[in-house]
Amino acid sequence: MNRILHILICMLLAVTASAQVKVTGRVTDLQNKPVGDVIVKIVSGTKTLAYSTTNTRGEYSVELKEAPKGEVSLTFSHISYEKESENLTLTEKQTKVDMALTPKTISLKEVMVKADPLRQKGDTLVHNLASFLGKGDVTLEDGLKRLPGVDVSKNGGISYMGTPISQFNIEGLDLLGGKYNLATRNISADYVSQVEIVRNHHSRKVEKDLPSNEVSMNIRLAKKAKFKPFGQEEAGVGHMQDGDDELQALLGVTGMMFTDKFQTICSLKGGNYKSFARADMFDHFGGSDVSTPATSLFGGFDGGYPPQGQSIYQRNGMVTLNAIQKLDSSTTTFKVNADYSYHRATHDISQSSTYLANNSEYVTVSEQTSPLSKIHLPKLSMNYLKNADNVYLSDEFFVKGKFEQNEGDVLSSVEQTTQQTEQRRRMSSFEIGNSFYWSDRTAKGTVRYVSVPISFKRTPTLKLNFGHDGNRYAQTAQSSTLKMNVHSTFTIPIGKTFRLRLPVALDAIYDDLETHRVATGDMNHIRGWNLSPNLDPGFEIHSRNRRFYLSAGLGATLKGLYYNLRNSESHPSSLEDGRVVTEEGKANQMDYTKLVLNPSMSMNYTFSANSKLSFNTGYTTTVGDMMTLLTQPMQVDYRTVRTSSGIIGESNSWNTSAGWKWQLPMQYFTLSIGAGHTEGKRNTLYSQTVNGIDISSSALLRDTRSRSTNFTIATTKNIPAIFAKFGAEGNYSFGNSEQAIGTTVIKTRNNNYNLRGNAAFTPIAWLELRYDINYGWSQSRYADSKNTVTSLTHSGAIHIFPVAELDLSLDYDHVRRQITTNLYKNMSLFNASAQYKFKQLVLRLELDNLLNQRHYAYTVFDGINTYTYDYGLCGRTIMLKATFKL
Amino acid sequence: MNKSIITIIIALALTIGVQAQNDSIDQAQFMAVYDYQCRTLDDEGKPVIDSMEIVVQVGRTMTKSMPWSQSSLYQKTFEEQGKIYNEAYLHMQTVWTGWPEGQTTTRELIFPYNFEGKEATPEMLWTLSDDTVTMNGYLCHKATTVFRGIEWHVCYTEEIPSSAGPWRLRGLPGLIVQAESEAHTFTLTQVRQETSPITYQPDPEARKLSYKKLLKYRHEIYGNKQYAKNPMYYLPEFQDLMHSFPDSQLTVLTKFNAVFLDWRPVLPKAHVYQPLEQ
Repeated sequence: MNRILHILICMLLAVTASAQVKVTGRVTDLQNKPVGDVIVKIVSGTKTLAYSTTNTRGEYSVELKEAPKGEVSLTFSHISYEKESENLTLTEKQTKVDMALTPKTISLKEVMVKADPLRQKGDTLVHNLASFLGKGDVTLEDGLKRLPGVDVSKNGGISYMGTPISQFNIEGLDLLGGKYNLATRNISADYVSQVEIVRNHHSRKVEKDLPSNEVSMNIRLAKKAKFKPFGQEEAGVGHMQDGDDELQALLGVTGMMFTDKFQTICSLKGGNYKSFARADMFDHFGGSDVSTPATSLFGGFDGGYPPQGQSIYQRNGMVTLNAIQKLDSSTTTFKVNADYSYHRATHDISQSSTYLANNSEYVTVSEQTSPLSKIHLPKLSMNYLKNADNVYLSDEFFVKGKFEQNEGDVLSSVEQTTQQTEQRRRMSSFEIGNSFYWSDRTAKGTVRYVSVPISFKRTPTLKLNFGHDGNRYAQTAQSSTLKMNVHSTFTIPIGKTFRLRLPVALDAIYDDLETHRVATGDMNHIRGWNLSPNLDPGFEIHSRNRRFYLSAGLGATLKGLYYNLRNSESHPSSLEDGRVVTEEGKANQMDYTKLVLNPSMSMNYTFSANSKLSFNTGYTTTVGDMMTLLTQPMQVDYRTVRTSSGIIGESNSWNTSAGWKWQLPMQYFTLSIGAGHTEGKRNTLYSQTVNGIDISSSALLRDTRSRSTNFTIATTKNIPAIFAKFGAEGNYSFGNSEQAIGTTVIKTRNNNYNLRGNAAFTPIAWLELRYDINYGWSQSRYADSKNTVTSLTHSGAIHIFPVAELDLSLDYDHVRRQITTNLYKNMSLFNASAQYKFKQLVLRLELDNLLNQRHYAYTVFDGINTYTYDYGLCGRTIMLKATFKL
Repeated sequence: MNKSIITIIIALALTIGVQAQNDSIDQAQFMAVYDYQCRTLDDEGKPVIDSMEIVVQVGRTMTKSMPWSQSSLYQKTFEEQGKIYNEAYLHMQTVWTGWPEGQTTTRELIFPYNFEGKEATPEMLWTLSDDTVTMNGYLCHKATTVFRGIEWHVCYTEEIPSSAGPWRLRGLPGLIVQAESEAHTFTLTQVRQETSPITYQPDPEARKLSYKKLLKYRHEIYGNKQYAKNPMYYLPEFQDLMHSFPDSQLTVLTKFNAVFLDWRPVLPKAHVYQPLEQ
């Protein structure tokens, strides 16, 4: 029995042994030298059954647990040799196969691997731009539009999850400030390797322990864009049907260089095609314009612009020089930005305004005008910056100017009466200033700072001329403003979770403002100080893990207005009970002092780097400025005379908002939800009086209340595999406010909601689709009246790529807007383009406004007034543009 | 003062770099760069992701895997010095697989000394899967293994026929494109056709021991609960050590809030140790 069992076991082992197969051998090169690290595989079809690698003697051994059925192939692969294979039928227990390999030239595609599309490093999201680019994308801006959570507005402004970026860096340096279009529209997308989005950004490193809701963007350049100059030349020529300039042309050259220590971008551009040249100079952080008390009194004659379609005939030119130099290894820089731009614009507009007049009847005024403006904007700024972990020092000197001329002749009609009026305006302003900011952080974490911005701005001449039917009249103004602010604070940590804040500030503004209405002799002249010492003691509490953060401040300010008033020469005036009273022949000093408190509180809870809840609430008291003391009439435009109340206005508002931002970066998903509520109270009420074609506006001394509540939700989702980005957004708001017609007070209620969706995706390799939809509903109610306006906008684009380099596209906008109660206007705009990318050259043919639509109209309800605008649109245009990368 | 010190150190480092040319042990056929991420906790217990880059030189007979700062790609600028400091959180070793023949040599700094451990090159038993996936433009196959207590899920590409990979991971019929465990991820980011020499410069001051002992010592030091809050806990004489170093060997890079002693990073706080092998 035992013997039988023994035989059976032996037979079984023999069967098992015979099932195992082994292939051994030696791999050499053609000189019979052994080759190590050769991958030897036994493959059946596409399936790898077993594999091994050769040792330094070139020997290998591959084993299979059981002999495969049929023929298999034995492959030999190595990075430096041609791949070899041999077909075998493994019937033997052990098979020997030697192989000689033929050397090959290694042809690895260098740096061919795309990194992860998105990586997260704490608060920083690192996007590998190449992973998101579409075939037709040319500029960095094209690429940014495809990143999850990133929105790029028409003027080039970049937002992340609804928050506009507060700093735009290239390789860690802030070269351009708010004029970052110069980079995003002139740097080629393939010159950028990574786009970093820094959430909870701190522009000052000394404040890195403080909470922040700011977002910044940092661009990492590809190697080919570093250490050598590059740039692009642009040239184009075209034709616009019935345009002010039928011949369309553009020409530009941009050069730049980025090294570890030095960066520069210089550009010279000019043209009359769309906003070419002007668009690059848009300052997203403001600060390039010069606004003085004199210029802010008199609005332009432009009449606004339509939100869609090209309506402006432009001629633009600009030159800009920007450079930044690191003065040490990492923390200190010196920057110079110098630019000049010229902008000439005109467009056609018909406007119909319906006002509620004193007699409770409506007055409709129709106007036709083609406003023309010419603006020169020079600016020079220099900035020294030291931004270290423990100390921050910044000093910026700037000088800038604005020289503007406007023409706005108007053909107006009201109740069968037609009138042609000539309007001209000329104004020059300049501003010179210096901003100093110092801050440091001690070893114990105490942060203190001193900020001293000082500026002087002046409008030496502002002149408006009007004329109709032989009557000529004019208005002039001039102003000078000296502004100084001294802000300082100490932030002292007490224990590990509590921090005391003691900010003190003094804002001092000296103004000298004079207006003359030439025909009537009405004159205002105000000189004096606006002094506001401010003490804002507060505290901050955070949990030990820094997830929870609470901050509160008292915000005590002593508002002081000390003005010397001279109104029309024969009517000096003084202030009694907060109101200017004209009193013949009497002196005219006005002193007004009031203590105001603006307490505020904010709370954050950070669930993780990707999820944050925030809550803010604050009470704000705003005291009016000297503008409200201009009690003599001013001719603002040909039919509007403005007279201020002489009342020092005071408004109180309580604002509360809460929001939650949630992201799943690795799933390319973002979601933000927000709600806000504002309660407002003013001691004055805006009042308008319409008499025929003329409008007078003033303010009544009467408490006025307003209230508004809003809700927002926005989400985006990317699917990189099909280069897709989807977004949806919803807003709802409601509220009420008060307005006066003459002395009658009218309470208005409004409700608005807006829904927006967009999608961009590439369903197949040669096709790319984009679709946006925007629906808006707005209702305004007062007394027994109710006005509702809806608008629906679709826009989309189809891109076809017959070959990878050629992008044929057709895009359209379809608008359905309510003109009046039961009248809707539908309009479609079509544009087409063909773009060919060939090495360094991009050729682009654009066909704008294919259907030659010449008008765009819509209606706006402003509480009780109704404005209907009809804008002229630019005619059909063709443009051939070449961009050559240098 | 510091600038001149750094200049001297860089000059010395450059000199070493030049000398290293003479310590060539193989010629690289190509170079692969990996992004290495480690998911862990900081000293306050907050989740944090540390990352660094790893350069792998693949030669004919051996492979060298090293932190970016040890590679020829590292530019000796002040700006990049900070990278050394970030790498210090991750304790990444320099690994010569197949050097000497049949063995693997590992070198690492456990402050304040360099250590060098040797062992027979370990075999990794991979389970190949039929699953394929396109990753970073490569057709990749999936494979799994458990190596010294850590389970790895890997994608490799036969388009680059090399059994190399980052750190000690290797032995697949194609270059590793991505390797992932619970706490660690290696992702291939660049492939460079660079035939630079692979070097091994003997370090007479390095403490030599078996890799098994080095691993044990490493776990004892970094695995201690005190480590994250006080990375120098095991060196009670650290303050004395600080003083014993002449000023000329103390470097502070303010931008990175980093302190170096003799150009070795000294962490004031660390992150919780996540071992790559047990």
